[in-house]
Amino acid sequence: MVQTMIALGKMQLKRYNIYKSNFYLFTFNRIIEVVVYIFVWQAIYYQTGNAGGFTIEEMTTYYILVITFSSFALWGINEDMAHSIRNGQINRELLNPISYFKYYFGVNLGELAFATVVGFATFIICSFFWQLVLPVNLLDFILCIFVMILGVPITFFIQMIVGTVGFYTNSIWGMQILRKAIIQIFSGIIAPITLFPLWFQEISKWLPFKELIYTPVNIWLGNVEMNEIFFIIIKQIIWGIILYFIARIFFNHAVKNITINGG
Amino acid sequence: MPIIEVKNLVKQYKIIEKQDGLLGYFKNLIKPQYKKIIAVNNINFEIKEGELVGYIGENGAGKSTTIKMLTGLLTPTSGKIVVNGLIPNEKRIQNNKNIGAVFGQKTQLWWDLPVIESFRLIKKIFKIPENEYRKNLKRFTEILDLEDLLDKQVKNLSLGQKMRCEIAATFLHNPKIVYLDEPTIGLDVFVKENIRKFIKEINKEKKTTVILTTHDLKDIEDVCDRIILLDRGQIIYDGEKQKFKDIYGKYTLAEIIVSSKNLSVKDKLQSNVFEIIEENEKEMKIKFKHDETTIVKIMNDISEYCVIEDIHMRESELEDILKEIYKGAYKNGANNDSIRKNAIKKI
Amino acid sequence: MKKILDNISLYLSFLKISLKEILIYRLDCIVGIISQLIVQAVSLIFIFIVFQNTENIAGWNFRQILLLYGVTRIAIGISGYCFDGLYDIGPKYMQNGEFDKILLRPVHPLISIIGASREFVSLADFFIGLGITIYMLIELSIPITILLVVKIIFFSVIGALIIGAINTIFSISSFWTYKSNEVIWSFYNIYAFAEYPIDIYNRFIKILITLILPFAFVAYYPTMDYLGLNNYMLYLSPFIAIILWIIAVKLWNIALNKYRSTGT
Repeated sequence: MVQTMIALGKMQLKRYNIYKSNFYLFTFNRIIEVVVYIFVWQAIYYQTGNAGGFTIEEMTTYYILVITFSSFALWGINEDMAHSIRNGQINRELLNPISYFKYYFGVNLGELAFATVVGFATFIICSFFWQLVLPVNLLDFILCIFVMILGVPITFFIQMIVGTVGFYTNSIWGMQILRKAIIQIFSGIIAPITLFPLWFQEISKWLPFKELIYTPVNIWLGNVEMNEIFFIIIKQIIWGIILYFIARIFFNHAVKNITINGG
Repeated sequence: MPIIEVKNLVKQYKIIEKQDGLLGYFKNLIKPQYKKIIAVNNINFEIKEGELVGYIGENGAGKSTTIKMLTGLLTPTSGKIVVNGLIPNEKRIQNNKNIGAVFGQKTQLWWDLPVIESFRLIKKIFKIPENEYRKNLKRFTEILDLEDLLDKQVKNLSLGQKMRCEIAATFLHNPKIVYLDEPTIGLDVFVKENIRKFIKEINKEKKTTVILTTHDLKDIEDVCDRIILLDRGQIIYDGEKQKFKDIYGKYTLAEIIVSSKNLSVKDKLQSNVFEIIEENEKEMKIKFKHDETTIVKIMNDISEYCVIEDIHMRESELEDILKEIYKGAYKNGANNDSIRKNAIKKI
Repeated sequence: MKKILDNISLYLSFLKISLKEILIYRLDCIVGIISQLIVQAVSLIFIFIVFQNTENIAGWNFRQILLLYGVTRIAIGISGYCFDGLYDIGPKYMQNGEFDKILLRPVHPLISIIGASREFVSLADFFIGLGITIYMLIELSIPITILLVVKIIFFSVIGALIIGAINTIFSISSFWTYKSNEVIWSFYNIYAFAEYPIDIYNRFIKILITLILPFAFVAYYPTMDYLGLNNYMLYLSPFIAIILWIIAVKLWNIALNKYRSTGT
């Protein structure tokens, strides 16, 4: 089973490899995405000597890590899935001797592998232009990666939910933007969550998005206490389970619909 | 023990009745009007391992619906399907391990990768043992002539090349049953022949059960031993191909080129041993049975009304028989009953 | 000239069809508009957060930055509505082989593609931009004269044309990459360059957004003018739009020829 999923992931990664330009374009775009934010904070820092309570090095590192990690949280299979629903390819995929979820989880692994490569390249390139803060100890680094990995099922199930919308609409374009925007707001891509109003911080504490980017970045920067991490891990697992059931029920409902009414 | 068992199978769709105009559009939004359509109406059949079955019928007769139910992609409204001991729509994934399917132009090949990559993935997904995979790949490459295609990206293949690869991909895991829904649509004669040859050989070698739907009756003529004929959701014939032809097809078709013809021969000449199917100023198409009359007698009769210039004859083929059936020739009176009876006898 | 007018009228009739198409998929449309509002929220949230930490950015205060934001959004909204079809080249046309169908039409493929723009939801962008612009003009007590209205309309259209031309250039990548829409989405982020005064950027980026990808002409120079800050750069923008479109079409044609000769 795991082997099959890895094979699927490799297939997806190979698709990206066929178009070499993808890699350069995506990396370039990641960097562009963050540059504006960094410049705005720099302007503020030079005026006031303060960037939202951070030093400018910390703020810059924050945004560069955000962008390094963001493809990992934002990319996935929902587009491919909706596409296959729209053109009827889904009938073929349902005839695989592996469940649809496992099939797409495999494909998603390919997406994540590519996101990792792009993220890594983004980080390396940015480190030439800006002074970056590195993790103080190895444990922080490992925990940071661990929390990122816990986010994988969460983003995957969200992708499946958005992809399933494709059964009901012509395109999932709007849903995709919605998904992306929600993650951007709640995961701290726009700005560190501590700069948001208190009520917002309270909400984001209970939602799963913060742990996709904001928390790993802060673990990297050494801003998270060890006892908090335990709570974070439990929360991620619970959210993983909740989203799994939502995705499952929604998808099964949609598939039941087509097996009764035809494709 | 049949490999496929279908009993009293019914599939009914509920579709929203589209209404015209803006008002109708809003009416539908609030309270949609449903229309019931019976796609498959109480069909029964059994298929034994290794059979080559042609599942035929006009567009909308319910062929694809049946295939989709057999693969588990559609849930029957009522009735029972057992494939290989499993109920497909309940145990879809388990069932998938034993089956292969080609749906028209839908593909299991990855669009932008070389063909061989998709084959390797199929090997992983279906857990095909290495030596089995090699053996099949070699054999299939040979019959379907895939040698030069394997390293090409799927998007760069022509339709025929793509279908050859698709067929190979479908048989790669030695499925017990293969459903081929219009595999030859839009292909040239050579590719069609190639694919037919492949199906026959694999069937002989591996006892693969094949269910084939097609509009090209040459496929059936070439590949299948048995025919299931569907009309408006019901089976109207189920039995051996040869028998089908024997019973309904023992007539000869003749095209007679004529001149100096100014009247309608059909109106003048009433005969119960031959039938004029078509006629115009220069040509007549007639149909007769060899044991009832001869072409010489017919020509004699016709020559009273015109001058015969030339004549072409051929034995009726499956296509002619089906045309007749669709036209309703066998739907009225005794003939229709005999088809029905035959179908029932078979079951 | 006649050829250009012909193409424009063709383009408009395509646009009408695609508007009808979008009305059929209501659900898509509603979700689209909501998503657009949230995307707006993303940018606005950042501005609000920034101004909790400072009084001004490069001498621009909160209201002035919001005006700049509103003006940018008007242009982006118009261009989103008119040129959105470019985003579909990869996923919609290339992957399905539909692109060849477009090549067979007796119309330049660019017209067909741009004409199929379905991005009705950009109007949400446009109206939010308009709302913010008007509100900020009042807040900043800038008199809304007829001249100003004419200027805003004129330079917004020019701004939309500049964005459209840049999109056209970048859409060339769709000929060769898988998932070009991901690429294009990232360009929403490039637009963000236009949302702040160019003084905050370093020299390299200043040159980039005035000369190479002239986003500064989309909103920054026009807004300076609306604010009564003297600048003459503004009057260059129509010429820049024209030059950019010429370059875009030329490049697109070159890419198309190359694509045709290598084939699929």
